[in-house]
Amino acid sequence: MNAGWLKQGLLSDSTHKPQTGTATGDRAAADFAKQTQFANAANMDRGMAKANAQTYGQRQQQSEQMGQQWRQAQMQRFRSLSNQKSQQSAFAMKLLESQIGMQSDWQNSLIGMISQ
Amino acid sequence: MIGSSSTPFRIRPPQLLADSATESAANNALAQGYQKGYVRPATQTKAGFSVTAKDRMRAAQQASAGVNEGAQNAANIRAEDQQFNSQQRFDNDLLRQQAMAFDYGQMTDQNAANFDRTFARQSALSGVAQARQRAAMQLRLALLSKGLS
Repeated sequence: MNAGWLKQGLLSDSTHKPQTGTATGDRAAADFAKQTQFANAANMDRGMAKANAQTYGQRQQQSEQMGQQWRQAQMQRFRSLSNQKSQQSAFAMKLLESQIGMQSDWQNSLIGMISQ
Repeated sequence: MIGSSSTPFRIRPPQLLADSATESAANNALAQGYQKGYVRPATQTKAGFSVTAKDRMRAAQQASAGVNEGAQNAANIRAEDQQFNSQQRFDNDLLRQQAMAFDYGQMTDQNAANFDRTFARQSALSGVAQARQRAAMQLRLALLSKGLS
């Protein structure tokens, strides 16, 4: 709503005669009422725009918070899987290492037996 | 990718109060003040007497007070709205910075996890390689010592 003061007939002389006669007094009163209505409408628009803007900001914040919680949970899951993988690979390699050791011992024993 | 210029960041710019809404309300407040203060120049009073200097002074005072009130109200509206918009921008900046800090933290966590995993794998592989080498050397030594090589 664009209720600029130039639209309100303020520059018109006929509406501003509060000191003379009942009819002009009534007109002036009506004009005041109209002006007040315009002002109230403009203020309501402003109030609504403010409320909407605030709600938008709050929603954005809430959505970001929820997103962060979700991402944090995903990251924990990823870290835990990553640790598991590290442990698994370490275990597998230890196993391999010990197998190699056993094989080596066996080979050495065999060589010892053959040479006797 | 986060931070790339072609991808808009997930935190959008704040919604602000449009200048037109502020100006509409401020102009109405100003207009109300003008209207309140406006007195039509008259040559006679209601009772038919000539307008005196006192009457003229009273009218001028009323006009001045009305304009003053209107201007004050308009200024208040403008100041309020500027403050509101400024607060909106500040809140948005804060949210954006916090989100970027969070993203940075996540990136670091992920890098750390990747590094840990790679490091664990590399050290395990190197253990195996060492064991192989040790076994090969022992075999060679055994063969040499028995004259079988």
